[in-house]
Amino acid sequence: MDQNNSRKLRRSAFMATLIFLGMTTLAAARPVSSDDLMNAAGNTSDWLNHGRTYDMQRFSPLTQINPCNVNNLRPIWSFAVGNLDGLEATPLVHDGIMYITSAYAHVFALDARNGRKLWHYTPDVPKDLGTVLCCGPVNRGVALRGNLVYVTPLDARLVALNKDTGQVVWEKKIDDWKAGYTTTAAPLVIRDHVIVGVAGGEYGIRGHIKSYNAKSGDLEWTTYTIPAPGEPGNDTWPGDTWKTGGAATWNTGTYDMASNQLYWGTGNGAPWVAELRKGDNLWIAALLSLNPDTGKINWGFQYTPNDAWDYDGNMPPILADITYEGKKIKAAMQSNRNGFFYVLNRENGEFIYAEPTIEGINWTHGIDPKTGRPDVNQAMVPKADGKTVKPIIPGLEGGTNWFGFAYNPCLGYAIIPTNQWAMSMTGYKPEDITYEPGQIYMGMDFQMYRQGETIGHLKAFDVQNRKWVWDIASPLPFFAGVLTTKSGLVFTGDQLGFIFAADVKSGKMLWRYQTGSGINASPITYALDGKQYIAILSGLGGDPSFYFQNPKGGTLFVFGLDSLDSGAAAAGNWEVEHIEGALPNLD
Amino acid sequence: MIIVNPSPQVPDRSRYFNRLRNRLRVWPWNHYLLFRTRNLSAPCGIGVLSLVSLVAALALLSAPHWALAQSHSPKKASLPREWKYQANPFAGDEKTIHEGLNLYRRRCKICHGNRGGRGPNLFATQLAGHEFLRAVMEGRDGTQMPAWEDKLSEEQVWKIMAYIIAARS
Repeated sequence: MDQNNSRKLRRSAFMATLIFLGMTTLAAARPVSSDDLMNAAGNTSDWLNHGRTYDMQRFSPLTQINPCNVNNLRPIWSFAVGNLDGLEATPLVHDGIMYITSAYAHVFALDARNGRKLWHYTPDVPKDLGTVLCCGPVNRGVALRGNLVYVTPLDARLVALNKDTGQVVWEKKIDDWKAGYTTTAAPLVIRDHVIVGVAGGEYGIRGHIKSYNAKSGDLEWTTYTIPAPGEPGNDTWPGDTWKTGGAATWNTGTYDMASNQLYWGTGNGAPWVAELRKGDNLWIAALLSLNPDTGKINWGFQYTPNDAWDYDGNMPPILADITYEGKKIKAAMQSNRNGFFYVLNRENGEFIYAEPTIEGINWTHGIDPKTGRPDVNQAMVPKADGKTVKPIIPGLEGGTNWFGFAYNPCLGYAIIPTNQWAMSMTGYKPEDITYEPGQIYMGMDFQMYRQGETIGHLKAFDVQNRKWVWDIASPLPFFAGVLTTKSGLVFTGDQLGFIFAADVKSGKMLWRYQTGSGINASPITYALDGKQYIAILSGLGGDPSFYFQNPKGGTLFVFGLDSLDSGAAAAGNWEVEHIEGALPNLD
Repeated sequence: MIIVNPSPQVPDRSRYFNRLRNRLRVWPWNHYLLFRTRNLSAPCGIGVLSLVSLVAALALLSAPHWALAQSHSPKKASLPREWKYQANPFAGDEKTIHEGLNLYRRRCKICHGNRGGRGPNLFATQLAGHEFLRAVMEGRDGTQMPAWEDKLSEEQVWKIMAYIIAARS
């Protein structure tokens, strides 16, 4: 085909597509407006943002499913994603369509009433991408805006899909995967910005956050989480260590509509051996506040200065207005891998308090009550000397890792998955720690240890009175996000494969259902045609698959109080792909 | 199944035509198209118009999509079927074993750990010599093990094996 013909053909194709789309969109789901995203709190039928609302509370005002009837919850439909790698995504629901991702950032659009697949996007990824994935080929979900669905395939790309067809509208390279930059987080849409972070803290990347125009995909700004020479904070890095210092941004962010502040967590320092990068190392293991329109950093709070233990601070904070010691505080709350639950003033980053989420924390003697700065226990700092330091509590998985906890504003309770375990660390000798692009740059061995019969503890914490309220224990670590409802329920999943519901006031277990594989994703709730549903992805993978080998699976489950009408459940075309010639019609 | 090299999103034009033809055979096809537009109550006219433009769009769209798919198709590297060495040239060599250790730390340990983890325990592997070499270079279908042929040389893999054997004993 010569070039002219090809061009003509493409132009015709473009026009034909416009005509086609023009007609089909008459009937398709509504576009998602910026106002829809901002006003998500009042929209109980959808789940539009990663944490439902920009404040990331994972709280729903729905009340149909409540402590009295939750025991009647039953699976309404399920959907197999077709592979057995870990599932970490939070589904989004808009206008009766559910959007989920599976490993390798496949995206599925499903009819949220019955699970019928509307389309499936398969990203092409390089065959050796696995050589730069520290923690499995995971993805944590999509974002919606206008007629587009945004997803970040693992090889550091941002792709915008047509929400009705799944076709690629545009795609942008975020960074070079061969240098260890990968992407696993759900993008965050604020007005006309699509904001993305990167993973790669184990490969010596220099972390950054980027914003793209939601319509055109043009790059708007890039903010590095490690300052270059001449920028404030670069003096916290010796020599050229800032170039390969980590501070990855591998989870999504939180947005405060009132003050127009974007909050984004950062990860560990690289290499892990902290004495090779003496100084606080801004902004590793920190929370950053940025202006989403310009990317300018307003302020930062470092949870773990000069982090030596892989205590990433990537979990997005939850925003809530609380009263503490008689004062009204606009709070940002985060439960950290370093074993503490932090409450900050989200307006200026001022430290309010930190509460241990587990027992026996020993990497620090304590946290300064005024500044929030830890008093590091030097005996627990692994050095570049080949000696093993043990036991360090918590182990590097936390405390609480990346998965979102929930905040129930009716009670002022944070419901936090926490893990009680320990680790050893052995730093390599300096001559064995060298940076090569795209290669592991940890400089350290580690081993996680069990401390007792139970590792996982789902705990409710009264934020205003600074009191622990209840605790649900599990023999395996908790790695799933949490959902709480106005009706007084809390939902999450465990590594045994159970999704369960408990009374948010008492922690009393009210319902559970075995999904067949470990749960590492976050539950959501939505309502359609007057009925409330709960949805969650089940599939062991990601970090838990380092430690045990329960059955793998890859299934989305949707629960409700009433089974679907059998006619409605089977109606429609189910997009079965026929194998050409395998089952011909009998003539 | 793990899809490291997924098939292109829109494989080729003929597949579209075939699928479309198959669908049009299904009676009542106009009901199917109406359902596709998610507007069961829409008048038939929209269905017919949609059908006409759908056929045109799909036929013509295949060209740019074919180009897009090509631009992302993974590189088909030729696999090394013949190895330089018949046996491990570094077995038992102390200096090489330390190099192998560092290679293991940088390339293997994140998944295979001290005694296995997300990947199997390589210190207990039943694969030996060229079986091991091939598994590393080509990856393992149905698992997360990637192909390392563009990242590691044959010598480097033998060094890793030399380290594993030394550590095992």
